[in-house]
Amino acid sequence: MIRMPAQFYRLKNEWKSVVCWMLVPILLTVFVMKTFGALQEEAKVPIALIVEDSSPLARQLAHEIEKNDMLSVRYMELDDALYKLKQHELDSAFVIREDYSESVAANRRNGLIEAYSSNRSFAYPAISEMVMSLAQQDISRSKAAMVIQQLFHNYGMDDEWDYEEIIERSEEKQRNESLLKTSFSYGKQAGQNDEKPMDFLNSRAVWAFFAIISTFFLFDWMLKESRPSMQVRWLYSSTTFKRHALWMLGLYSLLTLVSDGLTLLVFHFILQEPVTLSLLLPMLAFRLTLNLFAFLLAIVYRQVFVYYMTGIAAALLLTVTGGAVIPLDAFSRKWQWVEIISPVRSLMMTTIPVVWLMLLLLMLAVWLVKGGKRIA
Amino acid sequence: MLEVEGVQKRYKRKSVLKDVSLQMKEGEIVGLVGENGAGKSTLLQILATAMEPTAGELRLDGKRYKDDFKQLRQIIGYVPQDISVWEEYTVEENLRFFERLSWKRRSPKECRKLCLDMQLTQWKEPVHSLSGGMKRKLNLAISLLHDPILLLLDEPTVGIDLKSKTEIGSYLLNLAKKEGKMILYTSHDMDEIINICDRVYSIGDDPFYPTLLKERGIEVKQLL
Repeated sequence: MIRMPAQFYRLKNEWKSVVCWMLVPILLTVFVMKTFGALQEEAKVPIALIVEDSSPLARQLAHEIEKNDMLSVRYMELDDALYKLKQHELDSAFVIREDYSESVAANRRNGLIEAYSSNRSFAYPAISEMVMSLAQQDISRSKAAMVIQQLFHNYGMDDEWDYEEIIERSEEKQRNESLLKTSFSYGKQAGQNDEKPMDFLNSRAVWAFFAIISTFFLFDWMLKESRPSMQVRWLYSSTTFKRHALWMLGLYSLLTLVSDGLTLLVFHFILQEPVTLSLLLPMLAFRLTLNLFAFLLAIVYRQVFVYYMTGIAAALLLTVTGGAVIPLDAFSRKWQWVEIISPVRSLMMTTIPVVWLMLLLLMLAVWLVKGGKRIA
Repeated sequence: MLEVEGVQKRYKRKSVLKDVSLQMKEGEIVGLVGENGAGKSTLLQILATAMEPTAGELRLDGKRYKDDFKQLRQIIGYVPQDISVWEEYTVEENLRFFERLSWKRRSPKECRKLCLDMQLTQWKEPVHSLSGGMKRKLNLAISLLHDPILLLLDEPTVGIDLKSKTEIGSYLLNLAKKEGKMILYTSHDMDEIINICDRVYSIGDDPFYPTLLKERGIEVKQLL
């Protein structure tokens, strides 16, 4: 008769808590991100957009305004918008007038967009600036197209490109070459790459925070089993404590990797996060780092409560230095070692925390060779 | 047979065991008495291979401790003073977990019989809800899973009621007399020592325990 190994038997007896601690980070991440997302939606400035012109240029402008994360754009008729503005249900209302595209083509800058505000329109100046700058962009593009057409005409190349083609080509150039972005350098310092700054609350970082805590709760078996009173039992067992502990570490690592796979699915399907293959290796490295960290700390600690508290403190520290709660882009540019300190940052930047992994693997090797000699 | 010759143990400058020699045969229960700090637990830990002596020679079943301590652990059972069990598990789960780590395979039926033999009947109860006596019995049962020939018990009945003490005592007597196991037993309870031990060793300089036992007609051999 084949008997189940002790490690599996232990896992079988504790499956409820193991499953619970594996699911907690996923569930809490979904909860936080959905709640924060809803709050963010509530915090958006409501504006009305009345599109009287049905031209592609007008639709394009409306789309650009709608793309702004800080605005909640509602399309409606002017009468409704004005009524809601009076009721202070809207911050402001903007009308893209019927002759918008014609005015742009004719380089007429006045009366392109009508704007309405009330005495409580606190965001009106900023929003009207933004809308006007977008319209200005259209006008400038249109003017440039006309100059180019004029040049074609002067050189007898009238049939080369028409107006729409020039506009289309200009937009394509803007998209591909980020013409409105640039990098600056100061003194002898090299200019920074045009990195996309991290979001205020990143779902990967939120998950990492809860994953650190749950890993400490998941690995408390190591602390319980390495108590001196339990160590005596291992002297009279067919396996050594270290071999047993390594088995358990491998088993738990395998299970946590499965839960990480589930996490990626949740990221993709529920949180609509982009999940690419390039994320797999950093995620695996982060998980191994985390498991080794919790495992090795459990060897050192004697009291479960202190161990749990350390887990929570580590989660806070690593997440903050990882730039998850307060984005620390500038901070980490100045002190590169922040990235080394926080494996959370490595996860967010999809890199591998090599220093952490090496250090922890070295400590594991030291423990295997020299550690745990409390009992001969 | 257990043979101990000239065993010494020193912790830096402090000498705990000076020159201990003793012998035990199969089927014998030997008591070890002495005041706290006399070195009873230290001697038991050395015999259990949990601690190395500073000097001296130990043999069990003809095998030298120095050469074969890993093999000897397969025939030694050690019941520590602390209760070393999983509090959150039931009696059954504890036994079945440690059985899986044991050299000897035991069926669930055999595990249960081991418990029943020492009147540990709360098979499905979590350990944290058991009385001190029941926990001590479980502590003993786990140490017996690999069927050792030498059983070392460090105050196995401390802090438990008379009924449990008697049950454990009867069980140990049975183990020695019917199964021929060697049992070395430390306790501060002289009634217990008198009732179950064939011979008694005293350790340390204090004459209190030897005098007490001699008054009750028990011969005590002094260990240095």
